[in-house]
Amino acid sequence: MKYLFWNTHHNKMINDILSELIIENDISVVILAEYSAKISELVDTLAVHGIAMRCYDSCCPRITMLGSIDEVEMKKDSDHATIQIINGRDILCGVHLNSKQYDGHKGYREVYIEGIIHDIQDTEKELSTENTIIVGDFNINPYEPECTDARYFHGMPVLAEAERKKREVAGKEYRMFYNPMWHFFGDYAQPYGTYYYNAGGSQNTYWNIFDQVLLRPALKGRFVKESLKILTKTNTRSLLDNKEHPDKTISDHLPIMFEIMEEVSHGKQIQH
Amino acid sequence: MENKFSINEKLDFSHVDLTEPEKVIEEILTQLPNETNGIIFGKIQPYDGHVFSYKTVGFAGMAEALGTVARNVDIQDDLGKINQETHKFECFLYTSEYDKYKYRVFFAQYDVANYPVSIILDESVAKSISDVNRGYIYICNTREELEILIYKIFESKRILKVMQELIRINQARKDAKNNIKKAIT
Repeated sequence: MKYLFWNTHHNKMINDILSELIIENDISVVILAEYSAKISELVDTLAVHGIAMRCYDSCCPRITMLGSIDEVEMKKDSDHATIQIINGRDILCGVHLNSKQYDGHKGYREVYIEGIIHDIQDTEKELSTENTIIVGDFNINPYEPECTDARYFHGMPVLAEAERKKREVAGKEYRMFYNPMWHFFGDYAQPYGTYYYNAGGSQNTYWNIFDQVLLRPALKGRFVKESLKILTKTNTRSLLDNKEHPDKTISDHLPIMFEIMEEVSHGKQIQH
Repeated sequence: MENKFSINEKLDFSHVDLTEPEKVIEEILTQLPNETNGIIFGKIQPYDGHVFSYKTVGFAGMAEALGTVARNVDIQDDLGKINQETHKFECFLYTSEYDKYKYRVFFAQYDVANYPVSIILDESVAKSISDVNRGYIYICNTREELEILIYKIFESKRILKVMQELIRINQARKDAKNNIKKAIT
């Protein structure tokens, strides 16, 4: 099952490019932030190409989800996240956290993150599963404390370490996520991130990886590592401008995609 | 002996309603089904996570969040204090047709004295109830202040939008159930 996440920058004309990305990459579940185009038009365009998708129910104002999977149930929403249950056993949490550029209240973001983690853990307990995926625009980089700290996302860059599953800090147990987005740092391969911003000031890396996916180590066997990509083009157009930065006339963020193989009860895993 | 005290006139003996904030909120929430044709319900339940940043605690924390005080607090001390003194709650909405789903509206926190109570709002609700950017944390010193705020939250544009969406979802699920029943009979 292939997932696509994209912050579409309130671009009302985004549907054509979005449908190209969905069709060309054989996407099953689409998670969108800052989506301001008409979802019904996107669903209709996809239907013309033989792809039946529906918009999933949610009251979260910052995330829109649609897909071709029938069995998707909403579980818990807040301002910055929506938790959906896929096929009764996989937990998908779409997030869009506050921008650190425009919101000076870091403390609020920490409270919201802790609320999201709390909701995820409640859901995991209720469903007796740790097949959990968090995806979205985190508005923070994978190396920032809110992404790595045990109290927040607790995202480990190395799967072998995340397989410890949990860590005890000051007598309290904290469960871990694996954050494969670390793989994209540096300039060994393009693109160098999902979001480019010349922030000025003493702390400025220009390229950021705000758009991320985090997985519980329980999904190790189902996560197709090589499927994780930052997308920079469709068959007909580039999503980058002439400086090789995200083309803001399309979106200031680049989309990401990844695949989680479906779980089957009789031991074998199959690709969707 | 002559009474030389003049304390009495300096003290306020008027009755102060110290009803626990969650009971006050609960009473208001019971009115929601009547107002929404039995479709939308609200619930307040204990919450064991943090409702303030680790870097802030109590009212100094609120002040920091509002941009007036900066203070770091040792996490271990902070956790100890919270466990001993504070009551934390989460308030959410759900619909009768699908009670497994919750929409979180706010967190509430108060200490042993019951008041003041802090209401920690989500960003969109905070923006919806105030024209000026006054932050996401509201402090209510009395039951009356709390009631005014809670009514304001549930009558805000943002929460009305959530309720409208829940009504739509409720109807869609009801229709789907009825269609299945029809198909079987």
